[in-house]
Amino acid sequence: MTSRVFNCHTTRPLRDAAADDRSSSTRAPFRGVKLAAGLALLLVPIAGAAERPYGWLVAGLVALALLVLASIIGRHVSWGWLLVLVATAGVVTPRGDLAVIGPALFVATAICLLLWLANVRSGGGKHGDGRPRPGSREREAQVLMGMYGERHVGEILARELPQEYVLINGLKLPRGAGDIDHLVVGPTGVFLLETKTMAGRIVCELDGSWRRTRIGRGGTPYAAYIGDPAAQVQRNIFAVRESLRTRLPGLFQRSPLWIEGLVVFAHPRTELQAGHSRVPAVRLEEAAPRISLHVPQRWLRDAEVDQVVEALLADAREGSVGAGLAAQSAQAVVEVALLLPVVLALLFGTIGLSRVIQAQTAVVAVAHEAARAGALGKSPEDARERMLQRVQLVAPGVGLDARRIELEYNVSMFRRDPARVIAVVRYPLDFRDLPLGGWIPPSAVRAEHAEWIDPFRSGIGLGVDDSP
Amino acid sequence: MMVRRSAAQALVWLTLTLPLLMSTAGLAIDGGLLLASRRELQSVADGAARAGATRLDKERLRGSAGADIQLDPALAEAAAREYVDERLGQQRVWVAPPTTQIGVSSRRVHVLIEASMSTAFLRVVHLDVVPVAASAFADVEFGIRDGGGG
Repeated sequence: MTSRVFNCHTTRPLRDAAADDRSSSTRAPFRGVKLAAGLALLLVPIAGAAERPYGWLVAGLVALALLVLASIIGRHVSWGWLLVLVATAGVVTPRGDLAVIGPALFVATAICLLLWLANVRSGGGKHGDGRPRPGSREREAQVLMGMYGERHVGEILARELPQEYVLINGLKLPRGAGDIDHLVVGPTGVFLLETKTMAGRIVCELDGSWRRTRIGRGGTPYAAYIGDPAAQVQRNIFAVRESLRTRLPGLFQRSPLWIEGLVVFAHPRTELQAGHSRVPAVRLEEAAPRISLHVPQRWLRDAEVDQVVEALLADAREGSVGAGLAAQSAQAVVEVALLLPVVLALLFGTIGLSRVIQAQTAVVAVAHEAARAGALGKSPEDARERMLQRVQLVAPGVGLDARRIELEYNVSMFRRDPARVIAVVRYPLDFRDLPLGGWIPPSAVRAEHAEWIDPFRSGIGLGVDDSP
Repeated sequence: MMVRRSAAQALVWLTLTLPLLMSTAGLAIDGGLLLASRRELQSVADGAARAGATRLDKERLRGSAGADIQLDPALAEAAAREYVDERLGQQRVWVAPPTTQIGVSSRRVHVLIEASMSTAFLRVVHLDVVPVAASAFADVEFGIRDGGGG
């Protein structure tokens, strides 16, 4: 019996583990409802304000309906398709007399988007490999059975292995394929055990594929999920080898360390035929003798056993931190990629609108200057010429391209009382240099200014010199 | 689990900052519209003041042989008002008809136009209407100025 046992599993009761599995399943509470409620509280006043007084009411009712829907049958609603539907309706539905639907569709789109994003990772579809759906009774029983089996195998190994052996349960290495159920390090080498607690007839075919058959209550055989335990063991062997090669390169010089893999079937009602497995598959009672009686190419000294154990435990500690950070980074990248268009649309929209306002202010100034220049003319022709020249002169100063300015002038009232000239300036806007700006239809800003002509100015003959 | 706890962090972040982003964009939009309206109104006030300043008191002008040049207050005010009414009628739709105050002294016309513009986004903070005002003076100038002028 060995007392050198390391448990890397979190010490949870079995029912908690099953509950954890359930929490990630389709039975889990639908995520994002509270967040959606907060979003609705923020967006309804903003969107509803555009169509008062009923915009708030309709947007609020729609948001409430969606939240109730999400709370009751959220897991069964395809939020992605609903999002597409609502967003499309928002684009194609003419406002007209039903202007209040605009805020409602806007709020609905935002809520659907959030609920879809919050739940898109939870899956919930059926597995194509016959594995029970997360949350199903079968899956729950499988998880409980698996954890029970791992614990049982750990106890048996600890009891039957000699004291020189070290047992590590639930080791998780970077680049590994999930947890390593059991790792045994001792004089006869390093052994990696994958535990399967599955009843039924389990066969490894010639091509290395695994098949499991169970007998139903009515005596009918049916196929049950098993996966490929040998492949899982091989991936973990690779992870252990890489870990040791990095931390203890000396072990791999001269006579390299050989890492043995074992698939251990712990269920008492397992009928095993695994002669073709790439990794030896044994029943539980065969595991400890196979390890202790193994004849390795290279024996490990006590000090080497300790080094291997320390190296693997250290790698597992550092890997758990790194994996968490990597997963967080990847998730953040995905979320930013999804949300960036919203932020950019706001940014470029604001830039585009700023251009419109700047151009509008500029054409008002140009029209003003043109009319004032025209009002100083000696004749309608002179007024026209002065206006054209003035436009060319002042346009660059207010940030406009003089070549693109369209000037219309009215000098027909040059000699009337009150005499005046009118300048109309039009300037086309171009948004093609902005992302998606090409979709904006051609538009222009326009300004008009009238300037009265001083009748007492000499030389223009407006009839004020009417001597008595 | 750390990853589980941090799920949808960007979504939470966006939810919190979206109102701020939209407020900024809204402020830019309403602020821009306010600036443009103010500029158009100023253009009208300038033109109206100058239009009023063209209406001299001809009797006084003739009586003094051109030495006493003053505005005809009634004509100047009427000209300025005519200009304002004509030009404002062509401009944007204001919340209420703009009010115009025209003051005429012997050599100066003062035009003050006050209007109200409805907001698009500032309604959220119950700022439905923003006042816009423009003021302009025009003085009577006479004689020959350096540079010849028109």
